[in-house]
Amino acid sequence: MKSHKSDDTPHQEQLFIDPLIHVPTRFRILSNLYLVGWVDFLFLRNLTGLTKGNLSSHLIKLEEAGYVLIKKEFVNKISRTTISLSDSGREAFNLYRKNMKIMLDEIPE
Amino acid sequence: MNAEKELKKARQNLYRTMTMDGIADISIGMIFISLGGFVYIDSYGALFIAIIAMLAPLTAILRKKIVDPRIGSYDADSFLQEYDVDPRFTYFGIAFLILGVAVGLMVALGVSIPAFIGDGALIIVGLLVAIAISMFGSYTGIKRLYLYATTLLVLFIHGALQNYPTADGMDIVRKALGAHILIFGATILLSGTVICYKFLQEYPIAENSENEIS
Repeated sequence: MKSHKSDDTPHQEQLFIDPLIHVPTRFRILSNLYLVGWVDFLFLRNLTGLTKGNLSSHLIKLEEAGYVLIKKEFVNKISRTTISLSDSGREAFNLYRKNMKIMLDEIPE
Repeated sequence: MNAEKELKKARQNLYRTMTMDGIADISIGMIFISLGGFVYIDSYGALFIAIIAMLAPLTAILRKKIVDPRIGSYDADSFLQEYDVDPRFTYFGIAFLILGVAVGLMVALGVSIPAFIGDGALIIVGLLVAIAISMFGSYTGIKRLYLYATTLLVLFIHGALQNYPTADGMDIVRKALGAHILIFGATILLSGTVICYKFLQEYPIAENSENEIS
């Protein structure tokens, strides 16, 4: 039987849910970066409540995917790591939000 | 996972983290105390303006010296710039604007406020401002804003019940208004000082290595 939905309506099976973002901890990290231009590593740790090692490993994965930009710098001779969302990371995050919303809307109440 | 709900939680967490040092409360409290002092005394205007003008750079220095070494720093300039503003704030802003224009026109045209509104006008204004502060508290998840809203509403109701003379006794009205603003400012300042003290106790200065990815 043919579907009644038009072809331009996204179906659940067509929606791409990025597995890299779908991990709750990574979503939390990306949410915070989405809301602020950049944060330093310490501030992000306080926001997410993650340990240093845990946050580092997630950030490295996100950096490898090109979703975050990690910059190491010296401010008044003190080293600091700043993290920001890249353009492709912002795009991927917005797509994830959009697709998740469509998926949740399609679930019958 | 509901992405929008999680994003809302992240936004509230961000607001709470950004204000958990109490410095914003101390600054806002100082602004109200300065304003209240000026209204009450009705002189030394330049001094009160100077205090208010000094607060912004002082806050920035305090954040850099006290807060950043403890919890890290963030780009305040771009905070929430891409995030949708809650439409309720727009509606409330428009309502305040209409109210302000209406009151302004009535004063300019010499139209007297109807007695049934006049009696409760102070309470209505207090209620509106308290609702606006509470809404911001709900939006940001900063619970102490409810305390500030309640304090403000109580002060407005107290002011409305005093039946100050309006024609002959403007000095009494001015002093009463100044005292109310001073009490409101002192409440915020006290709250901010307690929060700041707790923050300093809870968050020691982080070691340099804590701000580096491992």
